[in-house]
Amino acid sequence: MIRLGLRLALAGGRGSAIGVALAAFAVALGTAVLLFALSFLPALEDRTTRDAWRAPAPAADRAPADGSLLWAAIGDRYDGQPFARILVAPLSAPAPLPPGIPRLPRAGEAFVSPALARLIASVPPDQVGNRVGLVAGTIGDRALRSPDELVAVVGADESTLRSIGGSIVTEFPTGREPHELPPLAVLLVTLAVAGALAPVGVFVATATRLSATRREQRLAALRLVGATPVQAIRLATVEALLSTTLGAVGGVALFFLLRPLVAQIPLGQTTWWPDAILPPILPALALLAAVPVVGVAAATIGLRRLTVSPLGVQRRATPAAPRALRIVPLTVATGVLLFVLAAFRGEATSNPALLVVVGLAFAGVIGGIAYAGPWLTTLVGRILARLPRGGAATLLAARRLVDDPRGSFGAIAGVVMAVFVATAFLSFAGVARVQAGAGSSVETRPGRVVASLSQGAELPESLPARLAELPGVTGVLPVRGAQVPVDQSPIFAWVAPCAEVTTVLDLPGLDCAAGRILVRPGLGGLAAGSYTLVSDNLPSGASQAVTAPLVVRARDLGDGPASWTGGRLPDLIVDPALLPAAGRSLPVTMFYVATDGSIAAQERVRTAISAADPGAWVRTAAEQVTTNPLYDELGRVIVLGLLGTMALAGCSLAVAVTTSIADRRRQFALLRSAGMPASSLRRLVLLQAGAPLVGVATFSAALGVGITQAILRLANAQDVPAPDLSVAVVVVASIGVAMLVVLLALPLLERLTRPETLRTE
Amino acid sequence: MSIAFPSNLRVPAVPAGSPGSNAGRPVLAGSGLRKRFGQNEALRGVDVSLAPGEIVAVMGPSGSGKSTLLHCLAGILTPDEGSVTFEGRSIGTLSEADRTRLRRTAFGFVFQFGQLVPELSAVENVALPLLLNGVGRRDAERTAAAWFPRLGLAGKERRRPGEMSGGEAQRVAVARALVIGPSVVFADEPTGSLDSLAGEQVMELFTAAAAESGASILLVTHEARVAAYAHREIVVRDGRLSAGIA
Repeated sequence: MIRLGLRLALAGGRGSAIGVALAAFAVALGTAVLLFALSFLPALEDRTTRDAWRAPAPAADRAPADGSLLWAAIGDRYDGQPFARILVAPLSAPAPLPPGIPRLPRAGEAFVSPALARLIASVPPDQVGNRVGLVAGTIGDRALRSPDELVAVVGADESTLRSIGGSIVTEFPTGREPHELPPLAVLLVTLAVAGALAPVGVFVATATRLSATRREQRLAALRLVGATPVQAIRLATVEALLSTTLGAVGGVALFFLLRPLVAQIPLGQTTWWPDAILPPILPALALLAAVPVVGVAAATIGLRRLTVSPLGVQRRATPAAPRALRIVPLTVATGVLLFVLAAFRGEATSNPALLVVVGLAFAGVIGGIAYAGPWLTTLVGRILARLPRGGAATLLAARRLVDDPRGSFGAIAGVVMAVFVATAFLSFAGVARVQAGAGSSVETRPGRVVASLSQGAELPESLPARLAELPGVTGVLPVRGAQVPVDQSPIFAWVAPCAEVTTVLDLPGLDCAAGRILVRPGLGGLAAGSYTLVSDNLPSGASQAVTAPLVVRARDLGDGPASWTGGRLPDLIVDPALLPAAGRSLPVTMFYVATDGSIAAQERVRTAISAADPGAWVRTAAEQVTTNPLYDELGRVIVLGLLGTMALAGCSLAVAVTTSIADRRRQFALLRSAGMPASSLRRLVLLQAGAPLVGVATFSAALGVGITQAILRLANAQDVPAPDLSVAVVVVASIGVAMLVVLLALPLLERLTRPETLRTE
Repeated sequence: MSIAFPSNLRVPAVPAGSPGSNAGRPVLAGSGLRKRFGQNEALRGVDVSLAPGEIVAVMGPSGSGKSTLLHCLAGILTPDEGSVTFEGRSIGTLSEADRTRLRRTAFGFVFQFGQLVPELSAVENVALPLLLNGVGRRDAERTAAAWFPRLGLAGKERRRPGEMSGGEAQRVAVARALVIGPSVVFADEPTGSLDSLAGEQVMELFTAAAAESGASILLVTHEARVAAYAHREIVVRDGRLSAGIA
């Protein structure tokens, strides 16, 4: 029986072989996607485990102890890319050693990641190399989150580390660490995986259908000559096992083949170690075992008609139309989803159990669309049949939709799912953009670099002048930040010359002649009187902050411009000349540096400030805009996923349309021989795919937008943007691309249905 | 019944009359027809003609070239040699689109099986050629419905092909072939999938309806009982006409 099954599957000519190959490819693709989905959390945990050493628990005792070192991790950047600069100074031998390096670097030298070593070798030292000193060696893979990560373990002297608030470390964490992805990001990824699986499932189903008609005819013929239902099922099982086993094995191969490419997709601004993308062994084995089982189950369920009667596939009667009850699962899943989010408002994205429920309910919504799809297709068919001016093609398309809504919807299901997922995730991507800090303020104009200096940083007097001399620098604004205690809430002030603020920040409408103390609009009236400026920055070793008296006279007060909003802009800009001589020595807390916008100029500024204050927090304007790049990246990953989803949906549609044409070629050829023009046939095929596509895809797009808007609002996401034109663009573009796929199948229609082909039928 | 025929392809209404009375001017004629499929020469120089209102049975064993002859005469296949004329005009010179239009407006077809669209009801199947000719849905279905009592199908207008017997389905196919008032109906083994009783019933109704509308019939069959409904028989053997019985 096995040999006969294999012969029937493989020896049926090119068509059979293509059918088996395509089904195996679809299963392989689905298997690979599932393996990647299973690998996601382990890969995340691998990352956090590899860099766990960078967050050691500080010793409670700040006094030097045996086997300890001083430690400070600086979140630096190079051209937007995170650059972890870890300053270490041994306090007593034997000092604990971070993983990945053979010894602690001496003061002035550093161990760097291979990516940073390449960067240092490729750009002048004043742009990055001076931040780490002499490169003593490279850091091993096990201490790096990803191959492209910029990390340096820099040797520093004890006094420097103490001045920037370094902590004492006696050991580094080892062992597996949980991932640190924010709950909203986990929700997005969960939903994305659930969404991506739907078109994959449709593709698998469609590809399996490719050879189904021929298989059914073959098995019906065998039933007619006496094969028992059990024998027919066995033969179908052998065939299904063949394609699904090949698919499962191919899926593993595809997984390993695609793994290096997938590893290049950044998340958290770094790529992945390919080896780290590996599913846990038991779930992976369970998945690989489940694939053939599900395939066989699907194939044998499909043969139910056949096993009842050998004539089951040869005669057609009016099939039972899908009932309106099909909309119930979709309604229930949507209700559950919204109920869970409403009942656990804000908690659903932080509670893992609820997150699973949300993910399942979302998957239920997708499944609900798939289940309701045939009923919606029937509705479209009925509307089409009632069109008063519909000709033969319209009538045939309408009747086909009503007669075979499952098959008709099956052809477009991939695109419908993709449209649902696309429109849903466009809303998520909108939030991601907002979360990424798309709003800009005056201080984040291109080319600006802002540096917040570390507490007690002792800067050389000459630093502003040195910064001003760097190539590409057009202005330097040292800011002496201070607070003015007024009532309960302090007022934040900058002591800085107004002219320099104008030059460097280019604050529109700032009128330096308006007063010597400029007040942010909306602050309210600042009464004349005597106040005290208290520096934000406690000097090293000092127990009291530096203060300065400030006498505010009504004539000195002036209003700032309306553009004075957001970012780190203060409430007051105070002319230093108003302060007594002692007050002018308030410490510099920030630098704003205007550059020509080149990477080189900005990195020169960053390197010079970092060299003067190793603990300084320096960011370029672009880095300010993207304050949380994770969501920005998630948005990109989602778009990438959508493209893949659309491609799969297009493949499904192409296969389904081709199969449908091939299955009906005799009927079409007879119609053409009786005088039906090829143009009418083309219109028929286009209408049959296009009408339900427009109807059901529009429905699912509206549902996608509605549900995600509700999810985001109930999940307490802030600044949920209303759906914009991009949703309509995606829906129209998806339908357009899908129709293009159908158009590509038309030459086949032309060829397969020529009347002269009848003689070979 | 009025059908809007394309203006560039005028097909005159066929007057009812005695078969062969216009024998001097055949409605359809094939001359020196040859057709080869690879190594196999299916037709080796066949001459045949069909007078207005005439029923000609083409007989012969399986693989003799009967269906190929029908396909050539109907403009479905293009003969390698020879010519086919309809109403005195060679259809070999027509473009594919014009031949399609000719088949749609002047010819009718009845095949052995599978010609009805399973998704359409019986009346919609019959109305299909009218719809293809641009007749409105309501008018087309009204015209189509008129054929049902004539073919013993009254009350079965809304049935699907899968819900009808083989004989009923073939009668629907006959109605569909005749609904446009064709000059020639090509029937390829129209009773091949029916039992003898149902086959005779179909042939009686078919020939009567064709005679009523004045259509000629080219009937391919290997059953003598079916061929008996024809005015004339021709026999094809190995791609040649072997004998003719008036």
